Amino acid sequence: MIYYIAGGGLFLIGLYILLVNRNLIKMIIGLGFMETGVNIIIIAFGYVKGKTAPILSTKELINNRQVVDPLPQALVLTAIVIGVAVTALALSMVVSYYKKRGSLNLSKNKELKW
Amino acid sequence: MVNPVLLIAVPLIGAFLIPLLSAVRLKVLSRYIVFITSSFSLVSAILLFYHVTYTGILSVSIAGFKPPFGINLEVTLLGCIIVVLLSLGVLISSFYNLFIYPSEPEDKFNIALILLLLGGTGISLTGDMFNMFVFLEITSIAAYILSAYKRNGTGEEAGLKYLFIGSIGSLFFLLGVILLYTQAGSLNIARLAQYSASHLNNPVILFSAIMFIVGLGIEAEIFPFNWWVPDVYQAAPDSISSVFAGAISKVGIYAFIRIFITVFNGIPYYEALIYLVLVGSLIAEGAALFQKDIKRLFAYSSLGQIGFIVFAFLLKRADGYSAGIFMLLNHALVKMLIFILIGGIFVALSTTEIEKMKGIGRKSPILGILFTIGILTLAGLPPFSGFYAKLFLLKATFQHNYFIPAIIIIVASLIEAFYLFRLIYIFYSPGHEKKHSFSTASLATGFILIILILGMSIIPFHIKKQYTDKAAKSLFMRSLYIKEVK
Amino acid sequence: MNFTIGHLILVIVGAGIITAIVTKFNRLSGSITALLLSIGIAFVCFYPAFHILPISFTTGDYTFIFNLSTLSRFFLMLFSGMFPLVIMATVSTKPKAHYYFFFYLILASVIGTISSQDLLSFFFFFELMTLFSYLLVIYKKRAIKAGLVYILMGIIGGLSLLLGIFYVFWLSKDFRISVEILKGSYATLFLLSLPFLIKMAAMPVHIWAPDTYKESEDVYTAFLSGVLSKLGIYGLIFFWFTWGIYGLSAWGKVFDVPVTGYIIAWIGAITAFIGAVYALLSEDVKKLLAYSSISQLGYILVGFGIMSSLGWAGALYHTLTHTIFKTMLFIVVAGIIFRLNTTKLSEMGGLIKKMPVSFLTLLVGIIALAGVPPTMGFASKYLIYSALFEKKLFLLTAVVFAASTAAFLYAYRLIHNIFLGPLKTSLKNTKEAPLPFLIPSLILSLFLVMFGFFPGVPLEWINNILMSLGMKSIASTFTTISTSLGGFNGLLSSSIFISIFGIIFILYLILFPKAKWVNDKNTFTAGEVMHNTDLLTYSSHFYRFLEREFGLLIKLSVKKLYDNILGIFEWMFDVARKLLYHGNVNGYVWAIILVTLTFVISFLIGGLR
Repeated sequence: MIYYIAGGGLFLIGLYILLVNRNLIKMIIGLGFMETGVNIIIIAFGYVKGKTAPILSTKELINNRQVVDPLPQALVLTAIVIGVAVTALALSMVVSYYKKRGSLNLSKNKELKW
Repeated sequence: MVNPVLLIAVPLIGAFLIPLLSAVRLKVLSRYIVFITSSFSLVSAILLFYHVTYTGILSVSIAGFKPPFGINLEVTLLGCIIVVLLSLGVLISSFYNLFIYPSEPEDKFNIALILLLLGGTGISLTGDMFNMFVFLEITSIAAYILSAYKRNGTGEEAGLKYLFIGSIGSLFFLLGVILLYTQAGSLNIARLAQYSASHLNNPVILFSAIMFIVGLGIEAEIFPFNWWVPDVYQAAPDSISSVFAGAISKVGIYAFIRIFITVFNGIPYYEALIYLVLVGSLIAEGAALFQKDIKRLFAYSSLGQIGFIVFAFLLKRADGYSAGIFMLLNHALVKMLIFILIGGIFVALSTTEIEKMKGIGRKSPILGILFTIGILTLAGLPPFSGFYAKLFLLKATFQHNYFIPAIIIIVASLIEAFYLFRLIYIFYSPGHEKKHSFSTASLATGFILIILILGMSIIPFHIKKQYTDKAAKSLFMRSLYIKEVK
Repeated sequence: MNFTIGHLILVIVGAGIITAIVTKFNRLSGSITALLLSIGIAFVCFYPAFHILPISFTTGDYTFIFNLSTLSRFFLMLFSGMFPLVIMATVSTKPKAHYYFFFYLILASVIGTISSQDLLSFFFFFELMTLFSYLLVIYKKRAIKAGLVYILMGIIGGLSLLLGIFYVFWLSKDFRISVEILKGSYATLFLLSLPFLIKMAAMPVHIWAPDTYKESEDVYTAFLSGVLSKLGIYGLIFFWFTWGIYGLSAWGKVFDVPVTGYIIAWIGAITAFIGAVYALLSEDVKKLLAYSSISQLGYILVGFGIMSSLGWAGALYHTLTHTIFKTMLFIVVAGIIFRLNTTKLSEMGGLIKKMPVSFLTLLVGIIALAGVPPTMGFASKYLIYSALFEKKLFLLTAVVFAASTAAFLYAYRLIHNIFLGPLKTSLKNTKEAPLPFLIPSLILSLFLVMFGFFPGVPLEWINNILMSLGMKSIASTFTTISTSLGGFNGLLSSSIFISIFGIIFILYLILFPKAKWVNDKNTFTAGEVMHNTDLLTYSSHFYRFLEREFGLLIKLSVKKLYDNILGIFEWMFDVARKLLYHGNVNGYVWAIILVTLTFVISFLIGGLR
């Protein structure tokens, strides 16, 4: 349960950051929070108390179904990689944006309006 | 028959080849790789379509694992149509780029374009939910890169907006996937469809449905989630706007309808969604009235049209689906044409402001004719295919006894006519007398698309009967999809 | 020889393509090709040994039926007969290739419209006609703005037609025209009439007409105003007949006229009157004719709205009359404009000696316009007025009569400002309009006078139509028309009129034998020597005293009303887009959260059954 709360909490914190802040860097951090929150929630779904990691070490573990669900963990691995890629891309765009406009606030621009 | 796996593998190989070729100083070749890859995709998708017409839905397991364990591809007729559109869009765009930028598109651009093709193809062919998420992310990241490609400040701004909204959307999508997984214990779309058919009352399923509405709504540019679209279409390079409007939005729609027709068939309040989508189209068409930038104008017009397309799919009737697919085809071709022509105009005038385009229709008659045909098709005037799209849509609407939606569609078409004909007015009104050199690349590309549009206008009933009806039928018969996978 | 309507349409399109190709190489030979081909087409349509057969084909769930009814045969003759005459007038203007191409396409789509017997193909060809007509209107650079209004009104009409058609489809599950349209409501009636009222430029929806007629290419205006606008009355009869007069009467009657028809008749009367007033006050010859056209189509609406056989006979008769004289007037005026290069009435004057043939044809035209024997204008006015009297619609009659009076005034102004008075010094070297303009106008004026003497000849066709529509025919012979209120003999009355005028003319010659031509400068000017004789007659603001009387009417502009309505809509959309597409990422995240929450809450409330 604590995992759900933690994950949900992180998600909400990230969301709050995105809702309130206009600074691009902070918004990216907020996005990161949200991602981490979702990842924790996913792991928590697959977790069964008292079971070990789904690594093919000994036959008994598999046979007695002593492992947690491996699929969410695989998903999270993929999601983390994707998250990193997106964050990197976002940061590089922010750098380029800052060079051109000298500001970290998107809403000051009037060109792309309405 | 072409193995559908190749449709995903070849673009991937292409994407890897481009930097390699650059490294060995064969950069010249790398520019042709997108062209070759997308041609391959186009041809094989068409072959695949005919194959699927005869055999029914094609299920291909990857690496020998059967569906519940392995990942599989589900080749449906609609999926094939989307892949055809996507590869056509990328082909057109790369063809245009070959001529318009003699030295430019860098490798990054080409790689992103090819990844766009890869991701879109994956979404259209996959039969696995998580796989769809991965392909969605590939498509999105490629799209973020491409929309910010101009690097003039505006590009980054649009790209960042798209990135934030898109990332939130994919997070929602991920949440939806995992919620479904906890209930159904599988990520296979057919399995999920089978499961959810009897468990639509489950609150978790419903909650995941909401997550999907939000997540895929953002990708499919559906009304309350499509704010990023005008910015991105305006700021992206012209050939990329053409791909976005013509193909990527259609891929998003495909994902949306695949999930909502196959998996969540019959969720409550889908009628509310109908009105939401239609009001969204109306607002978007209204917003297009005010635009001073031609690309932004057509972005809003796209949003309006997409609303109609999604509405057709929400009708839950085979003829509605058929109308939707016809409309989708028509809109994709027209928008590709229009954005490519805008590219030509931009090369000549180096502006996208509508007011500065006075008189170019008279200065360059061929461009004027192509653009006018595009606009007339978009406005849904006979004898062009847009008219038939509207006809089929209205017929399906009335057969389903939706009167108010039909009125909304009519009113929206009226608004559309207002801004579209104002464009013709500006194009043909007396303007500056300077001669411009319009790029032949844009015109040549435009000609290809015009031939397709005219073809669609000449044999609309044949296309409806032979292609869209069949695709719609296979989409409508959910049991076919589920059975095939078992 | 037998052929189908499909062949006919294809032949016309083919003729258009051939003409366009020839014109691309040589303008003059292109024009001659166009003329010859159009004469051939007219011959095909008129020659009785050629049988035009119906055609129908089915694709999927759609069936398209083309057939020529008696009504559409009348209009086919009207359109295909006028076409070569208008094309003839284009010869000296030497237009470009696409001009002829679109012209032929318009004819093809018009023939498609009048021959289609199912709703969908009717819509298809009707919209095609609007589109090609628009493309021909913007042939002239100056017309681009007027063309915008034209196509937008056309599209409003088209969409209303589409909605109406689908409403009928909703009720009857079929696009064929069936009795089940009867079940249609007021809404259907409105939706299916609006496009034709727009095409006929009836009063509240006429705003496209004056500018479009004024700015479009001069000869094309003749076709647009004289011929194409008649598609409106065709469509009205086509659809209203399907309802049946008795079906319409189910909604109640006023003065023995169905309510709906009564409303149409009033729209027509007001259009006729206000159109005539605007025509009085216009300073531009084409604009004058444009308003005159609006006004005259109002008469047709009045006749149509009475919904009796007399009324419909009047409407159809006036359709024929107006087609002939308005086409002719516009061709004559096009010839004058061709020579003078101006459309302003104040820059014309005294051309009677320079352009005698034009003067003669214009004179016949305005006599027909005023509805006076010996032209066929009298017969159509007679039929409309007797239809009005038959139903005792006196208020309506008064308005229509006022419109006729105004028609006299502007008809006089037309001939006075162009041909009478002293010759403008700037027009000293003007020549008669070229032959391509004169031949069609002479042919048409011949028809006007001939049918004035033999008013029964057109009425014979119209009687056929009336009978095919299940109405009483009007008793007539070659020379006479007789109605329940009496009748008249066209030969007799025309002869009397001509002889009276002849006698007056002879008396004038006898009584004033010393009448002599006075020099322009031979006037009493208080010792001053006149240099500028142009000022002797005034032609701008000719009816200034009426301008004062109708001041309020002129200020009331429908255009402003439309602008205001559009303004309200624009404001709404502006607010909506600024609320939704504000470009602020934080706001978008807020919106996502709000929408998600809305969905969640609504699912929580209603979804968990």
